[in-house]
Amino acid sequence: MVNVQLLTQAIGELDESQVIAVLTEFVAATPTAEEALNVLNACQQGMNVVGERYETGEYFVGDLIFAGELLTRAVEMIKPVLQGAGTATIGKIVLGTVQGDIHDIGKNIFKSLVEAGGFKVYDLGVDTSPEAFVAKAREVGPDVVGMSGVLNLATTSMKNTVDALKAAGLRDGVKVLIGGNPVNSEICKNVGADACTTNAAQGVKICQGWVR
Amino acid sequence: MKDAKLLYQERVQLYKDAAAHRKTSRVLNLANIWTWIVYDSGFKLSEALFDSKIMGQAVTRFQEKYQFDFFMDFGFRNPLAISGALGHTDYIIDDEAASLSIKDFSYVEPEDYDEICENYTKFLWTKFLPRKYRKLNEPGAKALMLNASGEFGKFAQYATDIVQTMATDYGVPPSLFTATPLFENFYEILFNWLRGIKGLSLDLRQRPDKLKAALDSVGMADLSGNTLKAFKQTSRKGTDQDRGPDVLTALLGHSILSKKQFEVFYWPYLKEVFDYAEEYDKIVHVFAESENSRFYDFFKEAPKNHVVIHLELDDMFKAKKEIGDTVCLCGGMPIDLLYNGTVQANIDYAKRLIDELAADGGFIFSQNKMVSYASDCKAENLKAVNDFVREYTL
Amino acid sequence: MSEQTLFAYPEGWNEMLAALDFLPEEQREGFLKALVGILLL
Repeated sequence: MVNVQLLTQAIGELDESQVIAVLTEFVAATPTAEEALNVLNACQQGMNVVGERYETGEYFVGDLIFAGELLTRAVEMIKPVLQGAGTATIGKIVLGTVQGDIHDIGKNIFKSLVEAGGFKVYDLGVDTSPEAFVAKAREVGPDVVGMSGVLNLATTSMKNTVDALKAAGLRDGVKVLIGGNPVNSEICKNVGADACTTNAAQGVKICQGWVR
Repeated sequence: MKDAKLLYQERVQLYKDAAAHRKTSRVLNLANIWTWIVYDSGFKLSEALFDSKIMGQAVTRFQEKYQFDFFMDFGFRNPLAISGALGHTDYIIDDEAASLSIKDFSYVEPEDYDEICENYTKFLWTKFLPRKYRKLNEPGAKALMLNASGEFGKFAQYATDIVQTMATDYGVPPSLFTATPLFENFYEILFNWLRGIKGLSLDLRQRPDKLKAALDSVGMADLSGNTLKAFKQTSRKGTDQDRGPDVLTALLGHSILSKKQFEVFYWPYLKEVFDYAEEYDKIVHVFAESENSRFYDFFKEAPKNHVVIHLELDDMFKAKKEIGDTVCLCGGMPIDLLYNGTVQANIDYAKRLIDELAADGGFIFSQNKMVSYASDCKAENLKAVNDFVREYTL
Repeated sequence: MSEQTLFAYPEGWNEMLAALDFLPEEQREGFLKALVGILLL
């Protein structure tokens, strides 16, 4: 019987060896898919702790990157047990770093967290054109379109993408979330997004709120 | 325009005065402008980065138009002709956006840290070079290295020529990057060039002892591996009267560190250059990217009147209150405004910066972020701001 | 020495130093270190 509290604590403390030890023991005991979901939930709780410690300044970006890697590893270990469980996806997100920008660390941290949070993510990668966002949105009908960017020019690309979604008649059917260094509420308004964040964990909460 | 020799001396003196918190009649303007110099000149980035004649023209044209006092860069930052001679293709050049990006990389594996400690030159020669420059693994490697040597020779010549031209024709002292001794925490070399952000983030948690040992072993050093320790041996006391700062150090990778991590992996090395500045009566210019307020307790330890810190994303007015008595602040002009604002809004903000930050000395005007891409700045705003800053007397 | 071992140390390093014969001998090590340094960028 896995100690989910210990797992949450281990993730929260970024204690890699403890996380791996707990999950190795868990998988070896041939658990059910339902038990695996509980374990995944414990990992998410751990990521919430990471988010809180980031808010207080105890953790910083390097720790978030490490947390993203730790979560990815944990999810990879649990995945084989989850497969075939008919795990309900709570929502779909089309995600990408916008045109002209190739920074992807923030996007990837957000992706790990939001996948653990129950979303199916369609990751378009970096330097994603407005047309590519529109094409994918048309194809998969997401709940959220998430755009990431670090450079100043990213905000222009974000606006262009929102305009392209409007022109394609898709804007009203999705929520738009923008994230990254240069975003703030002023830019959110100018871009035409529904919400903005510079914090991946907060971004996940926003998306979860939208699909409930 | 003033005589170039007089301008040069005036600029050096203004820099020294600013660093020493002496009030001056006007505020210096430092160009934190990089590949945008090429964009504004009308040349293509893909041309200028491979042709030093074009780059030189871009820089001088730029100075004639904007009349800066100091430059971070005279077109040195991306010596692509040298790495290009080895077939390097990890850079992505976009002429329209005037952007230069690099794909993610890691040329250091976790097991390399011991070797780096044992013999850093050996690691670079036997592992780093063949990993980054894949063509060096094929026959003909020596010829490629000799080509790169030739390009390096040309680059060194360009560096000498442009520093000379800018001094003689425009009265501009040596650029801070490349033409000023640069010493960095080895952490920066790992972050920017060897290990990458992701790799280093993992190392901070997975092998902190190995990382720390490597930082201690290579030490505060320039790109060639020459240490600050060795540099001290040939230093004479007193600030060099032919240049602005005596040494430069750049903080970029610190941006991913918490305060606790900074204390272990960064502060001891930054302190070394601060101690050098105090002991030898020198001035160190610190280029600090990102937002730095969580490190102010460390910056307050800097020797007063010996340190200039260029802050990127910090609230400059808050920084003035907290660390402005100890260090000379540099930066402040937001590139958001330089691109999106009206001319008047730009001038008003520039005036506010000078009025509030330079009233008692201790401020050098510059753009907050590195101006690199076409959309980082509008020419008419930059011209208006520069004309204002040059004429505005305190 | 075959070119495959140019990136051996110290043999390949010394071979490269010898190849920089356009420079006085005492300047070659500094030059090569500086070249490797700029190839970091």
